[in-house]
Amino acid sequence: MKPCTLLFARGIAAMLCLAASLTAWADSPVANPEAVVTAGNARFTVLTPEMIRIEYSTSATFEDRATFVIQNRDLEVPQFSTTEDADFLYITTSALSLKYRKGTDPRTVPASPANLSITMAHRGLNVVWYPGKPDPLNLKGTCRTLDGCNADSKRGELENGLVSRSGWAVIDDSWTASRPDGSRSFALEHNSDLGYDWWAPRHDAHAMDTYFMGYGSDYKRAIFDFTRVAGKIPLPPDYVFGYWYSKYASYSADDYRQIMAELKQNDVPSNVMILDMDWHWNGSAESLSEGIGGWTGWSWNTNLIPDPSGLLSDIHSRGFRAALNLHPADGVNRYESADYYNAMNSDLNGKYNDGDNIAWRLDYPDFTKSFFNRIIRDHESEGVDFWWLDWQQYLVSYCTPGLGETFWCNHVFFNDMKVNRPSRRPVIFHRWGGLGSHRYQIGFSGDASINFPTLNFQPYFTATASNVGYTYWGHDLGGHMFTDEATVNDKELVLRWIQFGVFSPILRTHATKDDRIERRIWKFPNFTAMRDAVKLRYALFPYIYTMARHTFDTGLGLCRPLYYEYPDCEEAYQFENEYFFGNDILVAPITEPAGTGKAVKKIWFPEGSWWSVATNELIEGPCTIDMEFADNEIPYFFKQGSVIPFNPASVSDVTVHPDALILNVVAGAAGTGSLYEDAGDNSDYATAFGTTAFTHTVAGGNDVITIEPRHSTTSLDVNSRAWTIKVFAGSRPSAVEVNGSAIEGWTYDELSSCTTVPVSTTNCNSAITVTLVQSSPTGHVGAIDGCRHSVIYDSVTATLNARFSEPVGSAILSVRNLAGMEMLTRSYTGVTEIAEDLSNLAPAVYVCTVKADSFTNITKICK
Amino acid sequence: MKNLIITAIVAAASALQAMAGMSNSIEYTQLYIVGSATPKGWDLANADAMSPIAYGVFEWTGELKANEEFKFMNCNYAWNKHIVATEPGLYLECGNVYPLNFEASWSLSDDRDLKMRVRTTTTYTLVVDLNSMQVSVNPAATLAEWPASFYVAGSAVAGDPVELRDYYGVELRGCIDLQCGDVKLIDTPTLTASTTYYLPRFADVDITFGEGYVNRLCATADASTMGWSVLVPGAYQFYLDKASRTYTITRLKHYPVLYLVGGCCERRWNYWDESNCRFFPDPLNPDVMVWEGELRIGWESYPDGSPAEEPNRFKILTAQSWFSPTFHPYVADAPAIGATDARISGGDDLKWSIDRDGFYRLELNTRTGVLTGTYLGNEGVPARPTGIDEVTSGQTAAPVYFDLQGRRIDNPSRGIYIKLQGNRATKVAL
Repeated sequence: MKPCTLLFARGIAAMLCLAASLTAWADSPVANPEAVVTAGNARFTVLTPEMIRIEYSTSATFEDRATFVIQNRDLEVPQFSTTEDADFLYITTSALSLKYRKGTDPRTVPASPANLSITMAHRGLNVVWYPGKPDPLNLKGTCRTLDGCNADSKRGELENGLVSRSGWAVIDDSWTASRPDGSRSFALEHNSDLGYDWWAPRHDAHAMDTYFMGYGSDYKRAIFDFTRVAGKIPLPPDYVFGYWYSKYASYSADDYRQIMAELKQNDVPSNVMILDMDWHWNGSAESLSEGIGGWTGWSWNTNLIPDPSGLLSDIHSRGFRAALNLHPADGVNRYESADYYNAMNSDLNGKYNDGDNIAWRLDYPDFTKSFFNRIIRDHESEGVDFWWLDWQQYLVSYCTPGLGETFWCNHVFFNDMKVNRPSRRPVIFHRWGGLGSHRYQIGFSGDASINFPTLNFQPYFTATASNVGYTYWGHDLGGHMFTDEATVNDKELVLRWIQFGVFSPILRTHATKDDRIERRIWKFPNFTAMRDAVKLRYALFPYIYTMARHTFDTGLGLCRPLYYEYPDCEEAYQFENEYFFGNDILVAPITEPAGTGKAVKKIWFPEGSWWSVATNELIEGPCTIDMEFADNEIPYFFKQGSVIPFNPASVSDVTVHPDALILNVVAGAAGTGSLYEDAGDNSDYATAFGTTAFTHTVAGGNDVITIEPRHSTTSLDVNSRAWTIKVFAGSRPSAVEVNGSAIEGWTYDELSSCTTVPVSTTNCNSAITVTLVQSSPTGHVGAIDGCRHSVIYDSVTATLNARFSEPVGSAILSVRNLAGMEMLTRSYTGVTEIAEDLSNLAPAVYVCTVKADSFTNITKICK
Repeated sequence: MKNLIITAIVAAASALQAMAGMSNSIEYTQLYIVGSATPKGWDLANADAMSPIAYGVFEWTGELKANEEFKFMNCNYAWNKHIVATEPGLYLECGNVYPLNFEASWSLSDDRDLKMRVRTTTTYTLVVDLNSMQVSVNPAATLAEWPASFYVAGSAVAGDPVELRDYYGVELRGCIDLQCGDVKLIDTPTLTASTTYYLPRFADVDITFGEGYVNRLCATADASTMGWSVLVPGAYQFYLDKASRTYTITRLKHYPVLYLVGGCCERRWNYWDESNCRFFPDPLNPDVMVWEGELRIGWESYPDGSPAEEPNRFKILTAQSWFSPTFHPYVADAPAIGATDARISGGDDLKWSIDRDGFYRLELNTRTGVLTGTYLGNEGVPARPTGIDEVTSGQTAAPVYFDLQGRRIDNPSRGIYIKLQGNRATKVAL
């Protein structure tokens, strides 16, 4: 792509994003009448060429209000045609053909295409859908919680997602269609007293209200269009992308201060301090609150924290934000929270009161208003930044059949914060409450087991949640409770979990209340590697935050499945715990123990070339390779051509906006990137922000990186900035130019094939062009082609055969057992193939590593 | 055992937690029919469970007595989740669909506890869809008679229809490569005017639909009726169970590991001890899973002195759980040596057997479903001539010991080790 074309494309993209943002802010649940076709008791709304809403009500009472799932039906009307004959109505868009038998309920029992069908082309076939058609190829979404998860035990609980290998998916927004927790999708009506939408019964509880989405393999557009109708995924405040310290324990105020001091002393960057449930009276002796309170509590345990405001002030002064854990289900108790109880009792004139307790009735506005005014406002004025809603009780309200406690808590807490704290961004930490929960970020996945198989499930789980827009799962990194004493404080497990967390939405270590479980990472013998991982997170922040904005604009999650980009590759579905972290980074976390040796990971690389940051290799896909990673190495890969902004190593607070940034570039292919900036916790971020576009072109072997002038709609902290451009996978340039002039001071590192170019402080409104001038037109390191060479074990002859497409200067064969013990080494020179007899090795599984010049192959064999 | 207990506790705790949380929620996993109109009357604990045929969709065929009441219950251990009519005094008529209500209440008032009736005593098929909260009523459906042979046909099948092989009169089976297209089962080797088509209940449903549901074939002579669709090319396993007249079609799965358990195994039935019970894929053929090691009739008794159960038998698990699909033979005590057909789950809990102690190589081809067992002798796994310089050849070489994880042990104490001496590796107990 030519530079001018790229610039044009980026400009268009930016405008589209802005337009999308503004459009979404004007959501209307009433569709454009031109998009609506009514036929008797059936109503069809053509929302996009691929999405049609189908309603059926025996009383022709249709729903034009927002619902728990759907917020906006007023989209630009796509082109479509309507025809009919004596029996059928036909609606045709560019993608779909709908056929409806007039006068019938589109649903049949059991499901069949008799009354309504939609036909679409997919994978060369005419795929037929009808209401109720089962879909085993759905790519799934997420589930309420990972509480109790051991290995992948929650896999079966994943709800259907909005994308499928069948080419279609549906949103069943009918009130009859229960979510897995038993809750329903109510209507929403504005409550002027509270200032936000409140639940309301659906007009026809037995009506059909289904959205058919026939996007084929265009998964990304399906998700984007979902957020157009169901609301955007909000951008969380910047601080949530830093490191969270969290551990369930009876910490005193001094304990918290000590932990913050030790984080500082040990140079662990951190941004959030979590106060688990022992901040309030909980009735336990070990938290010095025996006889007062319980699971639910609203008042500070002053035996542990005598000066709550003082502690919160201290937390803030040390650069942290604070969140408190809540289990609201038991209401407000006279003995645990006398002042709050009396105040609410007065507000409510004794309503909902059973004597000593005001029951939890978030179903009702009067309770809600009093509760937030009396309790939540009070704590927020003390300095609480956000709430961890740890709902673990019954799932559906006993007062309002079908009202999901999880979803409704999400909705109310988030919107209350939005209305009553307008200068800041709303954010809650809560479980998934069903479709529509993407509007209330961020997610708390709950109490999973401490073991490698459970870690192994989480990359898949996290990326797959993008299929329902739930893109900010925060896990208990390290695991919550142990199933085997051997894994309680397994340093390798905790390290690998944190390394995964670096490339997950939220970096939060946590565990249950058990003194045997350690989560102070500086107490582990491999602390240095853990801290390096946390620091990498802080380096990644500009990229992460830019991608979070991308999520807001496009609906595409930070962690997203490979099949979004490669829907036609079977491996994109098979390698399920690999994922993309934003647009440009492929991640394949280590989720199995390595024992005493290096971890071996089989990784699929899609088409294109990928820079392995840990091993300094450029790997040419498509291929599947077994790679080795030491404890301190994380398998993450930059896409060739990409331009990825990093913070400098000095940044230890993600809310600080440095006046120097790093751009990581992988040489040899064109690409783009961007930097998104805003005030960090401003509620008007949809329109008040700045973006800086990066382009990377390759011409005549020269890599040209351009930092475009920043486009901003508001004033930003940093107006001039120094840059360090790091170009990987390139040969040593003969010269480096900045804005057309040769400069001194650049360096080249042979090991990483990296040219580092310092660019002095420049006004952000000015363009910068950096050119790496190569003396030859092929100034890039060769990619390792995982498919050009082969290493195969012949079990019949017990021979390991390696074949190279050309003679290699030197080759080394190393065979290790799974414990990392070296069983055999051989070296060779000037060979095109190796045939090594392994018959004398005991029956077992071995890892065979063949290193030949720049080629490395790792093969696991079974004898 | 410790892990098993912990896992069981975690599972039980999770289940209890889930049950408590779902106490007033509708559940899509179960449905029962109760009432004086039904064969079991109001005996909820013994009420007929309706068969799941899709997510939240249940079918029941049975006799209903005229003018007697019935309703549906969402669980059979408590009267708190009722699926009832939306109007009082409702009589259901064949061929019609009626809306339903879900009522979560321990003391449902009569005005909401709306039961249903039929006017004629006869056998009906009822289908309840909890997604749309509707019930359909029809005359009793009859199971399609099965032909002697089934052929897999359709645009997804490259070439001629493929006949499914009859395995021991128990099931019809085959693993067939399919491309994108449609699939129908037919009763003739080629399509003719008299061909009968055997199709899924749900038209055009993906061929893999049905796990966890009762899948029956619908017979028709209408060639235009839609069959299954295939949208993901690959190899598919067809299983048609003759006794129940149900079917399962799954995509061929490549297992990363399988688990050998049995009384003749070193760890007996201890699947959670992975030290010596794992099959691994053949690097050259991922369809084939390989295990090599020692089997012994009545291996040493358990530490508490109790003997191993079924001392000469084994089977193969697909996961570390008794509830996972299991490979086992069609015939009880099928010999381990030689090639035998392996069945995945279904049928009785049959096992393979050995008649002599020694070292074996077991290869399970998961595509063909054949287990091939080879007896390797009684002195260890024979090794081939070596080309590896670092390993000393000859019986006079000093033995080298490895533990069962493959770690070299210089001074082995009591226990089981792999002994490598010269070119011979044996498993020894010291």
